[in-house]
Amino acid sequence: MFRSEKLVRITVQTPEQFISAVTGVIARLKLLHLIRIDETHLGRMGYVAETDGSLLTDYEQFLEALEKLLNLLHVRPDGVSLDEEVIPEKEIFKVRERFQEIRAVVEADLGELATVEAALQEKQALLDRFKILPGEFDFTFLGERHYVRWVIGLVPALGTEKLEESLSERHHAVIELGILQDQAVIMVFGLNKDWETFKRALRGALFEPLDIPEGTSGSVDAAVAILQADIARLQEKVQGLAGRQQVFQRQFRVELLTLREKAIAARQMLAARRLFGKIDKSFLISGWIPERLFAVLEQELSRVTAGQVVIEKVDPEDLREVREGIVKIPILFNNPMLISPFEKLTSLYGTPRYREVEPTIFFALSFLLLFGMMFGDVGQGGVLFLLGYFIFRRSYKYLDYGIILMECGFSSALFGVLYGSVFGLESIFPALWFRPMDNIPYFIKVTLSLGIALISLGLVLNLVNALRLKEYENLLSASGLAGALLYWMAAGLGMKYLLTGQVAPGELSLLGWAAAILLVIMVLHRPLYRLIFKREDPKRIVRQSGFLTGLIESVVEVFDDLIRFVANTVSFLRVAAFALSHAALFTAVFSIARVVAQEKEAGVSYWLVVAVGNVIVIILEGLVVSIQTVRLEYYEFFGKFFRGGGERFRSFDKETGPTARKS
Amino acid sequence: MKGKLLSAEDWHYLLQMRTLDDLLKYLSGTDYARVLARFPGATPPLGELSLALYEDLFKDTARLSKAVPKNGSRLLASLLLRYEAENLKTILRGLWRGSPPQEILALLYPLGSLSRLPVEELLQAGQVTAAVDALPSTVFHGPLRQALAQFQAQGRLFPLEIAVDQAAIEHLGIALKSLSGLDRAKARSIIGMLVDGTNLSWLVRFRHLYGISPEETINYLLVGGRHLSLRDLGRLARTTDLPAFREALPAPYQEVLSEIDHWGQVRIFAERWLVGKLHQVFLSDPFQIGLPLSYLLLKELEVKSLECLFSSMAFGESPAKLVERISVPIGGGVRV
Repeated sequence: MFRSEKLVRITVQTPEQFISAVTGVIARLKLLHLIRIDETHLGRMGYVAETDGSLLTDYEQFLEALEKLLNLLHVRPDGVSLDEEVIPEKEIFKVRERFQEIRAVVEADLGELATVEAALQEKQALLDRFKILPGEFDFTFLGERHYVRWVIGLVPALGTEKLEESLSERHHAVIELGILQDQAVIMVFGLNKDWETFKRALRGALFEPLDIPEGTSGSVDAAVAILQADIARLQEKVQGLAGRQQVFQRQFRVELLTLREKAIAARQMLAARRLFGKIDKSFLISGWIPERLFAVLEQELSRVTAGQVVIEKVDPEDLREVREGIVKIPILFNNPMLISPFEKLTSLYGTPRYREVEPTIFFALSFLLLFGMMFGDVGQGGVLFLLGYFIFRRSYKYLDYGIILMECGFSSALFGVLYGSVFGLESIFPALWFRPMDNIPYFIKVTLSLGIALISLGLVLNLVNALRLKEYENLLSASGLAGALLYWMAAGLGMKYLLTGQVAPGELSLLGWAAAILLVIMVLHRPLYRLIFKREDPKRIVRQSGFLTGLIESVVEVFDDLIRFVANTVSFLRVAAFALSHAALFTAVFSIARVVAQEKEAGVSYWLVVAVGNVIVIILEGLVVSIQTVRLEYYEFFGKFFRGGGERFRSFDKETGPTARKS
Repeated sequence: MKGKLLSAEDWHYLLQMRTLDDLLKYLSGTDYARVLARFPGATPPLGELSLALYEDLFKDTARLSKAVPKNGSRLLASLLLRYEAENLKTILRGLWRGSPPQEILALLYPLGSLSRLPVEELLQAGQVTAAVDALPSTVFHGPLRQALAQFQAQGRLFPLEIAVDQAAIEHLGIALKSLSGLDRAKARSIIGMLVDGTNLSWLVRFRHLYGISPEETINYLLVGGRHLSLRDLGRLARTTDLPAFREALPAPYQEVLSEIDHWGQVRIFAERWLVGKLHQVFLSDPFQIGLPLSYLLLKELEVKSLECLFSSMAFGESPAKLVERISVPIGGGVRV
């Protein structure tokens, strides 16, 4: 959890007759971060494999036809699991044959559905056009004109003046019937003999004709009534056919989705070949894979190739390019389901390096804690939870945000129980812990303690990172162990003073001495590092040019880092401030509600104001609290230890799917 | 502010240059040094160089927008809408032709964060109508939707292109409304002259280059000009030859364009007159929006002239010929 997944680099070499089977195995496992051969020296030398373009086009066309059928059956194109092996060269024949059988059955019954739906759409569009016109407008008087022609339609509202000018040298009438958004509904009359001029002018005016069917007579109201009756009849017919549609949907849904999945897998495998290497008759695939999957991969590859495969596995530590920092090892997050949505927020700050602490779990837990403390209310937490649940169920794309919102809602509700608040009402049940507005000094102490704890955690993680990344020089600096020790001593005494109101003189003097020693270490951390770890000659260190400048820089750095410690800690006061402002907003909402209720003398208006106030508080405070929490996490917590600069693991399907990087 | 523009003396020497290297060497002694510093070593490709000059213009616009009061800032920022319009048209043309996104991207003006166009979404849209749907948060969405019917009826991009151009310039008029007092009067006068210049240029292009009928052309022109009313534009659109056109022009354009002897000169003469007017703004009250507005328009014309100079040098055209096609201060004053 605190580390990203342990990866190894593999290189697979296989004869070309097995490439489909090998790609199939990799595609099924998904967890391979491909090293694109075209970006390596081998690729630059031209040893890059090619893919069969015509087969790829066949799959594209097949998928297009399949999507149409899925649309006709109103089947959502969800993914389904695929256990069978896919060999692209063979699969296209299989999927195509079965698809054509299904399509023939479906279209025999539902062919009419498309026609009826099209007719319905057309009538609906016509109805929309008629509705633009005034109801009493009568077409009867417009029929059978020998010398005059007319047209009804829309032009940009600003364009009518220009249209008038363009027709000014011809007999004409432009009548504005109304305005629809930014467009004017106009009726234009002109002489038959001039109609070509009219057509040109109307074209220039970006005229959009309403296309009233020929022979329309009677009033607009009457035409609308007829259309509405037609639409009702067609809708009834569509409903009848929709029954058949549902039968087909049940019958073929899984099969069609499986065909789709197979085609996607095959297309992916074909596309992936561009990223492989090829030397003579052998393909070369290279990438990073979780170590735990290596045995499975090896076994599967041996099975599908009948042993005709060479798999080389290298530990990252054994790679010179990795040790020298030329090649980055991608990082694969490895968090439980409830924590993993927060990986997105971690990634927004940066991608940790492979050996760094993977901080998502700390981020997630502290995020929820801080959010709950600032937004503690059972009712509003419940609303956030339900909103999150709605997103979770309805929008696959924003699933992660749905989970985060649900968790925030839960945390908020939990703190609501501790604060005794339901939609701002504090009389429903007693606070299990305390009410923020009743004990502000205590709340401030709590948030400061929390800040110290979180910053301390950041400092510890920084030490772990320094050790893992072998940044020993960092240990003696103000942002390393020396700074951490000074911070902990000062924070400990500060907390003692806050809780008991006194600090012993001996403790102060101890802090003074310790601070003096640690400050000297911090200022001299670079020379000390060279002296202790590198065992350099002290005279050489002192005589080296820039020694004095380095010391002055160190003094400034130490000063800056120490100020930062204080600022970071004080920054956590905002947790109390926002929790109090949350409570204060409720006080304001209830005051307004009381005033309104007194004026209107009705209970309904009171609860209406409370409800609207709650909505505003949820939106406004929810947003502000989220921003503040993210800010605390990024600046106060991550700023202490996070290095970043890593590369995110891209699974095989993402690298080769339609949204893959352009090659 | 005016001092940052190239002087008549600069142009005198620039037009003497024989090679692009000499030209760039001279320019690196002017305010354009910061642009050229981006291309150390070999002579950069002309396309990249032009785009870098435009980028400098956009940065100037952004800088000045921050330096003026909020209402004025809106107007200055609106100037860039014309370049957003160009980018949008390029994208639509690319989609229409089925060009690859990378190819389209390379042709866009580098507006960066100053642009509100969702370029990625537009490029991914694949089709022109889908691209129009991807624009709801921009000033182009409404006009483009209104032009879709004609686009579909005519089966060509022209109605969409004209809608985009009109939207960009008409938005300047909307931005004017947020100004008041002297600012508004000055800006209205300058924008009005810009609209006049655009109308004259479009009139020539639509009527005599594309052969579009007068009644269609009138609808494509812009309202809100300084000296050219809708009635004037109608009259000009209906003329068929140059003498009649000159005759139909109202003051002051009748005098400004009195010496033209072919259609190609209309734009450049009107532009030179505008340059003169823009320079005059610097002699008036220094605390009004007209100053930054004039500076940006002059800089824009300067960049266009430099772009012309680069191309003509690449094609081996003589500077004497080029002088006829650009509007720059020459010989101690503005050529009018």
